[in-house]
Amino acid sequence: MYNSLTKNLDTLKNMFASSADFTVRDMVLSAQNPVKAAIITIEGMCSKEVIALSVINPLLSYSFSNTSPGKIFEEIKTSVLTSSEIVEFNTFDEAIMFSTSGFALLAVDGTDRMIAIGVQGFSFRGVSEPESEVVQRGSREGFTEPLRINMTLIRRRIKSPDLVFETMTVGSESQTQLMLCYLQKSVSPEILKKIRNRLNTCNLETVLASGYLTEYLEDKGSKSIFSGVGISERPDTVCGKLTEGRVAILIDGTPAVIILPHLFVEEFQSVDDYSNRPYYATFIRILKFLSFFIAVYFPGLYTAFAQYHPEYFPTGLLIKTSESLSSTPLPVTLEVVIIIFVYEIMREAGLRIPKPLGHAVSIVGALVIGESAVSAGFISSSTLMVVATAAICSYVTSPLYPPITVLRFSFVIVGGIFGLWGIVLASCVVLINMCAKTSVGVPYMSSLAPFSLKSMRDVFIRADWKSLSKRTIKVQKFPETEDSYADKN
Amino acid sequence: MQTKIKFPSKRLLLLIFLAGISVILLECFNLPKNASFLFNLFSLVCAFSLTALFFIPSAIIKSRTDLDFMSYAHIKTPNAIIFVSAFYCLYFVYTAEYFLIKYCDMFYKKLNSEADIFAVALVLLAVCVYAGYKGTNAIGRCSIFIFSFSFVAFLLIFSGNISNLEINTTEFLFRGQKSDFINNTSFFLTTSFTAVIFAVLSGFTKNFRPRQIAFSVGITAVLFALIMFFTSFVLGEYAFAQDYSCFLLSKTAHFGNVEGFDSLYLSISALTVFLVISLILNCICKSTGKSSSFPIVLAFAVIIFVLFICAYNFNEVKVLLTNHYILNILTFISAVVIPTFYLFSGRKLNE
Repeated sequence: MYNSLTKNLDTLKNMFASSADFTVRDMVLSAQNPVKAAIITIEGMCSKEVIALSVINPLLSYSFSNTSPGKIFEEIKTSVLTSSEIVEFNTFDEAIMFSTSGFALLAVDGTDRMIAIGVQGFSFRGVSEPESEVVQRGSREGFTEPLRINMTLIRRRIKSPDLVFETMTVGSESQTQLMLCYLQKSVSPEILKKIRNRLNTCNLETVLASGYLTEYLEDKGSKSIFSGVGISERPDTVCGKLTEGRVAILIDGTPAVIILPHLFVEEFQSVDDYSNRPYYATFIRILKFLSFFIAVYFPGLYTAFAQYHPEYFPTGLLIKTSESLSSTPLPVTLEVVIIIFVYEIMREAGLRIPKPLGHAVSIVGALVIGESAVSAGFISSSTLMVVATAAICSYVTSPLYPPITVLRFSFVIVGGIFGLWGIVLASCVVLINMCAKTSVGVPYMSSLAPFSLKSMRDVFIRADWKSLSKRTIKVQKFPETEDSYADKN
Repeated sequence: MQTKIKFPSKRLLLLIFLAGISVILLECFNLPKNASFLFNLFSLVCAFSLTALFFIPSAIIKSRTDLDFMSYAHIKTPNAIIFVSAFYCLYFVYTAEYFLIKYCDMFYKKLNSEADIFAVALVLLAVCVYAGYKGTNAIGRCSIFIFSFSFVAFLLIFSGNISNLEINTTEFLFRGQKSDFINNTSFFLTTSFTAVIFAVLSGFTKNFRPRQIAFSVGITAVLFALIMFFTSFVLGEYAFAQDYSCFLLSKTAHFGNVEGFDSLYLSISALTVFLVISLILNCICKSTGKSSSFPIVLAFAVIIFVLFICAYNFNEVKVLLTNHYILNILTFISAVVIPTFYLFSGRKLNE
């Protein structure tokens, strides 16, 4: 930075290309030799009241005893400003970073430094219940967009000095701030190092959501339709994961927090499981696993059986199914594909259009597909029932909806072309892919394959809290996690 | 992919168990008409005792040096390794071909006689190439799910046949001819190809105990014995006229009106053959000195497919490639002769 206030302001103005929201409040500080100063802010990012009360008022009403700009600068820092957050800096990059983060910058003529004053006052959505992770019992708080509020939500739940927030910046243009969050006594240093490296090598220009980073955080050679990166909008879920040695990544501007490492069995766990009685939670877990298999396999198996192996249908069902299928003009594979396709279109439309119209789409869908198409003989009622059952089951494990949809579609096509044999082989491909996948070095299918009896207390069953609390299994202690993790911890 | 991570040897033995059961699932094995169940059981015990013996040289190498046979051979005779590698690659190609042809025959006879058999082989090989490329560790993990499925499937097939059991006491008399014994033993001995797989892949494993081999071979024998028991006492005389007795067992299994367990048989056979060929492709990689390499896996899969086309166009080739006597001799050389030669010749390795 320069010693001249004018030069500094000109440089910043040029950098912001005289953007409309770049504002400068000039002032003259009263001293024996009056000194020029300026408050630089980005409009809308700072609270005007706070600037007036804790920055401008104290500055203008104060009589500086020193004469040199450097000493006046020091006096401002120590005796004038009443704001709780003050940072001194001396580069234009820092000036940009602070100003775009909602800080007010104070520049004094004759000094090559500036002061960033924490006066953030941008408007944001308040803490509310996350719609995608609704629970019956438990906290109703969900993450929101500002990073600092999300940090508070975690800190309020883990009041331990072990909890560490480590700041990083990603996105060469967006300069998005993020926080690595972990419990230093629980986390594996190797996992942490890997995550830091991956974030540092991320060459994105802008990071507007957590989804931008997930692909950079996946392990090399682990390409899969299943994600090795967990996402949650719930502080209680994130805190639970942190105690198991995982790392959370909070990204400014998004309520979706990334959790690493992430395992397949975690998709079947929810906060409610730990609030409910163990026997009921176990029942729900088994229900979720069954629903997952129904959602993936039911339409594919139905297609394969109807097309190639009708003898596998029980006699009564065979008669009804064949009656129903014989009255429709399309082959069963095409019928199933079309219904799934139409269903996905309606689901996508329902998501994107305003809520009141969503009901209309549902009604149209139910009437057109459910009633008219069957009565007109375009599709069979048995096919419709199969696809509808699979569709409902796919919502039981909603985080797995994307892979379920792709797999369901694939199994229908494979079942239609190759029959049951094709489905078995396609399952082999999926299984091999999942078994080869790792999340930051931890096998994605951990607890199941590699099998761990100890971990089973929280997979198919949910053991009672007395057994669960005996010992928390850290994620780096799972079998066949890269050797170094286990050795170093 | 975690190629550097060693996995428990128990899992390799689980893989070997699953690979072993493909023999009985795919064999159009007719029980000798004049041989009793007890006689067949005796041949089974003899064959599996021999199979267990086939494991001994590579188990000794593993226990002493924690190395698989190929690594051991590489260290002991670095100049001759190319010939050893070439022999093992040929052996694995033969074994893969043996199982691929057997499976496609079963597919053609029992599942779909109108299917294009070359397309079936091609799709199966494509899936195996993917698995072979992903490595032994991934296949090993996958085997846990396949084992769970197979366990439930066999449980259903056996329990669904309990109501059909008709115990014939004459089957417990020791009755049979020498030629039947040789034929039976030779057939059951084909499971010994798993000893070569163990010899080549044991280097990826940790916590090896020799008793794990005995356990793995033992439970394979028990499963074979159970299948034979049900074949003898459920199908009885009918079994002599039919091939794929395990398929028939799954077809006769029922719980009231609930039938159709042959779908389970077809699924298990596809899964086990997938495991066998994937493992073999992995073994080929290992024999060439790589832990998993896509070009090598692909190249050998192409060779296997070309041989498969030849086998279905020239019957002599097919007969040659599906001869279990030849397979047994090659297995004996690969699992016993060569490793034993290495064990007792040349300089000793620092253990």
